[in-house]
Amino acid sequence: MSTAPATTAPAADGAPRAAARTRQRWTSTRTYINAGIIVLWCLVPFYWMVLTAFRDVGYTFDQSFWPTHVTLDNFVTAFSTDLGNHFGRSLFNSFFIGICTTAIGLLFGVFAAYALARLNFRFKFIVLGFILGASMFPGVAIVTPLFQLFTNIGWMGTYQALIIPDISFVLPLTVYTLTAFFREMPWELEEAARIDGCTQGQAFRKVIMPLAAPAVFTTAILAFISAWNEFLIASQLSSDATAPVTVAIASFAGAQPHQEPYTAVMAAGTIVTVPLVIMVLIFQRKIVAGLTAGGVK
Amino acid sequence: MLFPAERRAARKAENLDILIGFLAFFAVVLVVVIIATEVTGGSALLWSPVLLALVLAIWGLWRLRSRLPEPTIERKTY
Repeated sequence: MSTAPATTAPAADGAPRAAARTRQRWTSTRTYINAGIIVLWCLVPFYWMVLTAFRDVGYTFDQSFWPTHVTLDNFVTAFSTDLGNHFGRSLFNSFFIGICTTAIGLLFGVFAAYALARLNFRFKFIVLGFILGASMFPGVAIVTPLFQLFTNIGWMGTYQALIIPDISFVLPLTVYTLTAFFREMPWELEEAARIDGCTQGQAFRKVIMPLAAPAVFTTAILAFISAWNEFLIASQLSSDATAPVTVAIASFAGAQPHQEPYTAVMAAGTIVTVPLVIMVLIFQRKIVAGLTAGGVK
Repeated sequence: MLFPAERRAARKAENLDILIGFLAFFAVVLVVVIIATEVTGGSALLWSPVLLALVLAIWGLWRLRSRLPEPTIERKTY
């Protein structure tokens, strides 16, 4: 049995290889530095919000980058109904509006997206363009007409007055995201289901929908975030009883008259951000999978 | 299976359709705005030329579109 002779790299190869290794190391270092800058850019405002939320109201404008004069009073102020801050109720309102908007938006969005991606009918892409137009329509342009309409029909300050406009903003998002996903799903799955005796509806319900779950899930999260962050329409159409958190925070009152309650606003902002951060952290893999699902052709 | 040239034409038709739909949305919005303005006694003089321009643009695109094949998905549904 013969063994291969041990080979040593020629001395001339050493220098370029070392240079390549240095270059590679520098490239990866540069990538890390850039990523670090982006992360800092995104997280510093969030960090400052949390920091101010835990800071005593007398030290609101303290510029120290580390926690000083730590207190939980701001959270108490945020939830204090004595000061007129109905934050607890507005949290419930936001959840309720977000969940209703997401559920109804998805219900219509899934069917619309499936039809646009898989069925052959005339003017299909015109409908898609119509939806694109609707998604680009400026929200501020419909505030006054909606205000007038809902006043006339007695819907001002009701949940439906907040949910229905939100659905119109969420629907284009759901339709576009899901259309891209449904387009990429293999036709063979549907054909196999049809051969096994499924009707088209059953094939959709029993084969396509379970496979589309990641995309539906991603779309649901995006729709919920969109409804959760909505401020413009809600600021005009909600009442004290139905105001979501975005509106409630904007109308916060401080512990003293004429005092801008920055620390309480930061405390409320921290509480509002936490569910979204937790949701994104838990489901980030599914979100990325769902978002990139329709991307590869 | 579509040939590359056919696929290109179908893709172009698809894009034109989307553009027509996009403009049609704003045309519909303008029609509603103009009707509402007229009914409530306002002046629609500013909106009307914009609607006219949109309608002309849609008509032009429609003419272009009619020379292209119908954009269909490559497999027929049942």
